[in-house]
Amino acid sequence: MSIEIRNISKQFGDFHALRNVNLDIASGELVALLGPSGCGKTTLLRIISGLETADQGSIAFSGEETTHVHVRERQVGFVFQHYALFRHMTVFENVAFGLRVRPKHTRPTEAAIQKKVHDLLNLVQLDWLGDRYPSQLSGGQRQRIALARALAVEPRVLLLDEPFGSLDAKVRKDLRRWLRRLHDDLDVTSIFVTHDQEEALEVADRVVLINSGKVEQVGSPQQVWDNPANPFVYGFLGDVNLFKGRTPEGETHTYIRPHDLDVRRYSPGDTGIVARLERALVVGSVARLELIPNDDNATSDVIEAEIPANEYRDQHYVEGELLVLTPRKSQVFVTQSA
Amino acid sequence: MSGVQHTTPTHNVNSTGEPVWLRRTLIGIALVFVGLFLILPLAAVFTEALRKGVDAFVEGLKEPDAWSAIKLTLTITAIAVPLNLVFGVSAAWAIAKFEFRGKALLTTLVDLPFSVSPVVAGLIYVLVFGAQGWFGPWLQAHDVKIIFAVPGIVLATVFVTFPFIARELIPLMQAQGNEEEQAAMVLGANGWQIFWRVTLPNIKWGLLYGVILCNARAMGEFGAVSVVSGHIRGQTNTMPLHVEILYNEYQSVAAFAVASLLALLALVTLVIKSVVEWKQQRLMAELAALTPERPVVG
Repeated sequence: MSIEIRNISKQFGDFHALRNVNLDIASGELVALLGPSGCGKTTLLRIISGLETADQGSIAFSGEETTHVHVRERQVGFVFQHYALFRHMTVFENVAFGLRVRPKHTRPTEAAIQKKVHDLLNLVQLDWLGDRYPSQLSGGQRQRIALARALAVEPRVLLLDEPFGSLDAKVRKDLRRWLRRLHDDLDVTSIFVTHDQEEALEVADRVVLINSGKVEQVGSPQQVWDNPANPFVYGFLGDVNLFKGRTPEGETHTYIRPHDLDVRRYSPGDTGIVARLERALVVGSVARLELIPNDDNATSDVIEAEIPANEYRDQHYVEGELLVLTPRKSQVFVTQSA
Repeated sequence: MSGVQHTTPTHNVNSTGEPVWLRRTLIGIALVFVGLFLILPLAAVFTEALRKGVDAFVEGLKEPDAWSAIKLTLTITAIAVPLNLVFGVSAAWAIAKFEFRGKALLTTLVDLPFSVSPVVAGLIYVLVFGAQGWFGPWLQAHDVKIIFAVPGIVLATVFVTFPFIARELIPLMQAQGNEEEQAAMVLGANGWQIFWRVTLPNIKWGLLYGVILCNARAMGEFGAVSVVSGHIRGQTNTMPLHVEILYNEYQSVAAFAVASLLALLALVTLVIKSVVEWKQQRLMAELAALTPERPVVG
């Protein structure tokens, strides 16, 4: 089931949530909608599901016009950020819900429903929780039940709204990996919304970066990381140092990633960025250095550099020392002067 | 648990820091208040009703006008409460789950019967449906009697008891949000299925309590019904109206006998309410004890 999104715009009062969004999602893909809070990614997800309607534009599922189809006819699965499990029903009844509300002529028999629900609970490895109520489950368990419930109706598209947002870091990492494997097994077109770039880059086939209602870049995790299309993408994905300058063409913004800076002890005559080591933090295999440029005309206050922890220890850098930084790789964006 | 040391002196101060004597004084005052203004009058009603013995009590109730008053009260309540159930749930649903123009107005209108004197409420219906009212001539031409007949009493009772169910449900439904309803919709449920399977079970205790309150008020309403009923013995007298008539005719035992039925209703309402609250608390406690870290109790 592929999805074609054309010229979608949506306004809430004076606030433009989405401006002219165009996107193609291939069948069986796992796509991440990534962006800061308020950028419109959840609104886009809800428009695809049918829970919201766009002011302009169209949605098609595998070429079939779906813009005005009611949400309950769209056969999509939706996993809400706070799970929205039915609090007064057991886990079993929650998962069985979509099958029980089918019109009589398409409703499966009771035996078929029992089998399907047990199969799904086994899939999410929670078959032993069938008789519990949602309030008796942990966050991670609730999330998996919400997923099982969405999958029960065999949706053509699976939509997840910040699925791991309210979970512990460890649980989040485990569930991320688990979702990726589940997707590979099921092969359902899936779209999930997140503001966590690590999550998007780790899980998705393709990442869609959204800012202020516009699509900034679409590509595989490797593509958007290696070749950011504009300053927003560069700054949003990973840490970055920004240096401003001026040329006859206009203002320049130079972006350098912390791990793309070579660090050496300063000796007079060295070329590069001279900076004083303010603070060093060794975390695992990486040493994170915070440096203040030794230049009165400096246009950036703190520079972040990352070097292997071994190198840091071997060199015995001391806080307060002068070091020189040379960039291995950088990207320059020029803003034309008017 | 043995081996736990208390290091702060707790013998005369509880956890919020107020001294025990203060607590006892305040509770004492509350009990005296309840005793004087609630228990004493209730006890007096039953005492007076049984003053001439149980036989006189039963005679007072079997008297034809008293009996028809009891039947009328039950009929009115049996119509008014289901009507308000439908109105209340619909209004609460609209206010809690949707955004629409005029929502603030609807919310205010729901509270209107509380701020209007019951006598004024009854008068409104006389002015609209009475012989000299707006629809008066039309009603007379079609031989439809509303004022000084049962329909008028139903209308007045519905008006006065309208807010109970709605006000009980609105904050409850607002607190619960509508994500569960959205989830049900995405899973393919239609409007009725969503209401019946998702919304209703979530509000059932609030609904029950609202119905109990509505019921109690419907049976006991005096002012509004007094204005529209016409006090026709055997036809348009409800129990509260009949109590007034009996008392004015110095038939105090009979008056208190009928009144004791209403007082009994108040007590039954209280008991049901306590049971409902107790059940809910027990449910909450059970669920709280079953945290994910302790999936099984015991």
